[in-house]
Amino acid sequence: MKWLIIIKLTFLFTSNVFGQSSIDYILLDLEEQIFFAQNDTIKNDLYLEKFNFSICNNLEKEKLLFELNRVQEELLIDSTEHADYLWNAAIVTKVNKEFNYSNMYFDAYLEEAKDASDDIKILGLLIKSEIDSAAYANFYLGYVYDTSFKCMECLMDLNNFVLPNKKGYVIASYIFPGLGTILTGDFYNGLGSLILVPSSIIGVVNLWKGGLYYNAISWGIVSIPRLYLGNTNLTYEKVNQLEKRELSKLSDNCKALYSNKLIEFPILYRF
Amino acid sequence: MMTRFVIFLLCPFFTIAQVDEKFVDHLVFNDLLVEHEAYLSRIEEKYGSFDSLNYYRAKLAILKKEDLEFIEYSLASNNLVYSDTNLVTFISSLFLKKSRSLTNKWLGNVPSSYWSLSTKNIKKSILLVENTNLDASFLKPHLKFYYDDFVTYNKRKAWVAGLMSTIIPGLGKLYNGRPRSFRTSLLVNAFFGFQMYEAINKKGIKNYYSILSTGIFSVFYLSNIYGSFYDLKRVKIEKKKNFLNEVANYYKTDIPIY
Repeated sequence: MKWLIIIKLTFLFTSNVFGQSSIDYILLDLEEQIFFAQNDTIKNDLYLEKFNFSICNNLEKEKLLFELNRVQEELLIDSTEHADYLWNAAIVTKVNKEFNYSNMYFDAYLEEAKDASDDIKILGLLIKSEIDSAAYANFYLGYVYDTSFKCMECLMDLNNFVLPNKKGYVIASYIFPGLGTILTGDFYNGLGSLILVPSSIIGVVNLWKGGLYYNAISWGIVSIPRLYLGNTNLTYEKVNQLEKRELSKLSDNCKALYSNKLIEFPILYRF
Repeated sequence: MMTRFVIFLLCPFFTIAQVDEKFVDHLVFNDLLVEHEAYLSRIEEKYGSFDSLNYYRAKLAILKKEDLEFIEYSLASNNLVYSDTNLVTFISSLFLKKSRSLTNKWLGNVPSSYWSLSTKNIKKSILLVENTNLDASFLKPHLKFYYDDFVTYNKRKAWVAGLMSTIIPGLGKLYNGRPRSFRTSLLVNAFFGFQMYEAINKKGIKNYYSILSTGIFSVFYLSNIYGSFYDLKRVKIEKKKNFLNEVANYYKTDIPIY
């Protein structure tokens, strides 16, 4: 009877050992354990294990966020485990562009770990720069205050960036319709407006002079405001596009500046 | 002894081969599609394909929004999917929102003995839009309203819309059930019509500006007639879609598939 039981158990579990090699099957195994877990603490440990496993295997960021949200922070008793969880949570939420949550997790991590190594400084600056200039400045003065991190100040410049003389382009288009558009770099649209608006005014005046009053009034009401305001709106859009282009250039330059820091002190998940 | 030994060995396979419904519900509730897929694949790897597994695979295909995969697994489930009348109704209404041909393809596979009253009404509604002479008394008042609207516009003729727009610009749009479009068309045509009238009246027909004004007015006038003519075709399709969407919404409400 003994050998019968051994054979039966072997039949049952060998497929479990050899069949579940892929990530999906491991996720499934963990989920099954979660489902059958008897109490909340065990369940929470398994949630954390699944979250960490998802991070290790670079699963998509939405999945990471989902697994993160299942973990109940208050049930994590071990302080190192808790600190690692907060650190990973700050990174995952930052990657998912949930900056307020990221900031919250990061602050909780700082409170818990009381650590100020270089990778923490970098992550902190990256997160705080997404919040506001006061948060960035407070963090810089409180935790960083290191000239070697000066290169990261460009992050703040990115947040505060406004195109110089932004209003000037629109005002130029109000005075000479099309001029602002040309100044933003869109030569042909600008030239079109520079020609069209004055010509429609001349056309309307000539119609009036020719005694075609209804034609003059109707064309005047319909075409001139349309062309004039249309151009100012176009200029406004073009200015915004120009601002985005400039910002993108600045962002690339900024990344180039702090990429050395990231290579030197990479931000890695902690387990 | 040998028979008992074989029965003993096979016993766990039969007991574990069943899909754990509660666990599947847990996976669905948490929207864990990857784990759900892996769970069903693992069962298939262990025990091969069987009817209830194909039933669950079919339902997973719905969650994955894989319509054709759903139909394949339904066929493989040996009528198990079809015997779930709630599921049949749910899918029929779901497919009806996407495409009539897909619904027909799906219902073509489901034996009529598995059709619930709602499924029958969905099929009857499809037949109604294909042949308006059929009996529509089964429709609920809410659906009857949309059906009557569809029938009304389905009877209308595109050439009448074109003719009406020829007599009064935009009137064809009103006939097509677009009052806002009628007002816009009338205003635009009046705007260019008066310009043309004033130009011809004061400068004569041979004047360049009069020719230009006449040209502009003609373009708007003729395009309005053309637009009214073709718009009715669009209106008919819209009304048909509206009716079928309402049918789908009406029969889909509150049917849990898990």
